[in-house]
Amino acid sequence: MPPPNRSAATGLLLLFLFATQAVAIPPNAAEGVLKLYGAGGFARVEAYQTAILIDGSRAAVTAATPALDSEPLTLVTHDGVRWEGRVAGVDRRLGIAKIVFVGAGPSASVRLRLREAADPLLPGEPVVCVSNAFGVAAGAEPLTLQSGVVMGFATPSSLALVTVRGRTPLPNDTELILLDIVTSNPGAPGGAVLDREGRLVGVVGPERRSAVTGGWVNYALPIDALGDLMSVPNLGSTDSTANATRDEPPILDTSPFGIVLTPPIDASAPPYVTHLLRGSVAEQSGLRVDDLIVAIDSRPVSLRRQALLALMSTERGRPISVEVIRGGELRAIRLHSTGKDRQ
Amino acid sequence: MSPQLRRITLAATKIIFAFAAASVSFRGFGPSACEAAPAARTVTPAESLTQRVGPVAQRILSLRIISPNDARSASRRASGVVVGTRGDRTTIVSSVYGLDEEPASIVITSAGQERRLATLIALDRTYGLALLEAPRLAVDEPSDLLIGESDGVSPKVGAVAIALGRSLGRLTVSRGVVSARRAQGTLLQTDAKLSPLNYGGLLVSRGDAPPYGLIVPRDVGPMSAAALYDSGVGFAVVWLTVLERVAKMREHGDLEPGRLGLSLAGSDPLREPAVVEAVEPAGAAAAAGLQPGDRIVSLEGRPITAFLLSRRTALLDAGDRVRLGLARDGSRSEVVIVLGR
Repeated sequence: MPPPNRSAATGLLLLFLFATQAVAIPPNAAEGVLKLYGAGGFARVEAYQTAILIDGSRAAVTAATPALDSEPLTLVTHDGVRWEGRVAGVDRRLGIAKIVFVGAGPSASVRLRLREAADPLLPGEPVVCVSNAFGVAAGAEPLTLQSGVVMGFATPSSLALVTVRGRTPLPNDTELILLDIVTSNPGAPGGAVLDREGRLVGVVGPERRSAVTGGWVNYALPIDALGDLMSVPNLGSTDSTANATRDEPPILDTSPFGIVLTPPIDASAPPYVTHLLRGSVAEQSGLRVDDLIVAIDSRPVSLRRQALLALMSTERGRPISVEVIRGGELRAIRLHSTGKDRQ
Repeated sequence: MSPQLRRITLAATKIIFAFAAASVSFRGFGPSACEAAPAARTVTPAESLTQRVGPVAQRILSLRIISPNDARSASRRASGVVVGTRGDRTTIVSSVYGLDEEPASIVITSAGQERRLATLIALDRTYGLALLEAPRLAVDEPSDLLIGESDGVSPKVGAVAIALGRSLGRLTVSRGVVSARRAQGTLLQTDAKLSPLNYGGLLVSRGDAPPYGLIVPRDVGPMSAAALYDSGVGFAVVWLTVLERVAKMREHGDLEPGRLGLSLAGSDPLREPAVVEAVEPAGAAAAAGLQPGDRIVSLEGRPITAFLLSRRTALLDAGDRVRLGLARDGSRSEVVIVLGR
């Protein structure tokens, strides 16, 4: 969905916000959310989290965490019934996993309805999060409901998200839903973010920290990102997870336009020009070593990876504008791509 | 839409907007009140909608703060607010977040995607504010929507409070209430989620009223501001105080917390009188002639305990004067202390 629509509607929504004190969701809306138990339970790795049942699928969706490493998994529905499940596919880029049930699985009547793509989520919109945060609930006990609003949207690269194990594999084109609900809790991954009508709008992802803010990010993965994973057949075995595993696309071209940027020391490396290839477009256009790139084609970039992706995604033959800081001044430089220099 | 129809629509939105602007009562705010006439600018229908219902959000900028000689670390991201113009410069107020480490450059991006390099004019380390200037932005017009009506300035505890930020380039919104008023009414506490995503942004009541205050990081006792990210405990400097601090920064430059330069005796500061245990040799108290054993009985003529003395002097600046009543050897006197750094 295009960002301009969102920003135009933000003002309206702000007014609507002040009149709204709380979100009431339809009764039974949270019945499609399950408690999930797996491996872990030591060294700060939780053995429990949350999973959700989605309309139109017999499988469940959860966050891809180490809790899924040992099978079988136990899933407990709202009525306290225990089900056995297995990982049918993992989308490592998004950090979500698909779980299939051994046997018939829970009734189709408790599955969560997805919000239609034609009805875009807006900043400031009231939502609730249903999850097994801190493992408070067990058996037939109700899960934890937290209320808040959609804080806004951000791409993983603008937040420089990092996991405990290093850089996040989240794809850069995913628009994460930022929440003003604290979802970065043990047990919350895989939780459901629901709108006022009880429709699913997002899935709480694995806990991730932002190298930009230095804090844990409260976010949900948008449901339109679930599509690929749900189309994987219900194989019921981890043997076939390779089929559903996507890896981060490698950056092949490390010097678009002849620009060599700061080495990728970490996710938060800023895009300083450290070297220019001899005779390259960048050199001829007047770019210099030590320039700091702040925007490409009017879009702000603050991280090395963001800048590289922006430079590489430009159309061949079309000039691009690069804004840099040099000697305390902001300068705009036009780069004319010939196609040849991109190689 | 035909060009003619478009022109008519534009004219209509401009008239509506002029009415909206005229219905707000204006008040100047010190030396940086708007001086220049607004420049002509085309307003798209989408923009005019946003301006009518959320002009405050339009004033919030994205700040990218680049650290000096450090190509390895990410630049900090924060928000800032356009408060007015001075000649051909836009005046921006933000929080100290990321700005108190002598940044190499500060890039600001407005809601309308205008980009400028900003200059740090002064820091207010007492309240956690920063004053910046940048070459004029189109967002300056209409200039004074942020200033005025007192109902937007002193909210009741329990009132709905919305935290707006633009640190990552796009508007972020978090919702809560005003939890408490602190520091003689100059600070607001809120349970809206606050973090670097909205430090330097605004805590507001509505989109079309003056804001409650400017969001700042604040330590609480042993807890650092970073430990309080998204915790439900966050702070904003009351908007009227922000404007006073901007004026004071214009006059004095950087503002530092003022110190009395003494330590108090006793273990129960809530109950006990303020008895001086020691004075720093070159401190403010020593310069005013205070000695160990002196009992401080009043501050600005009002009776005081050890606790109240530290609370009421906590948000004063170095250079501010305080009048203390002293009791020494059975006799009473008053001294004026110029707070030190």
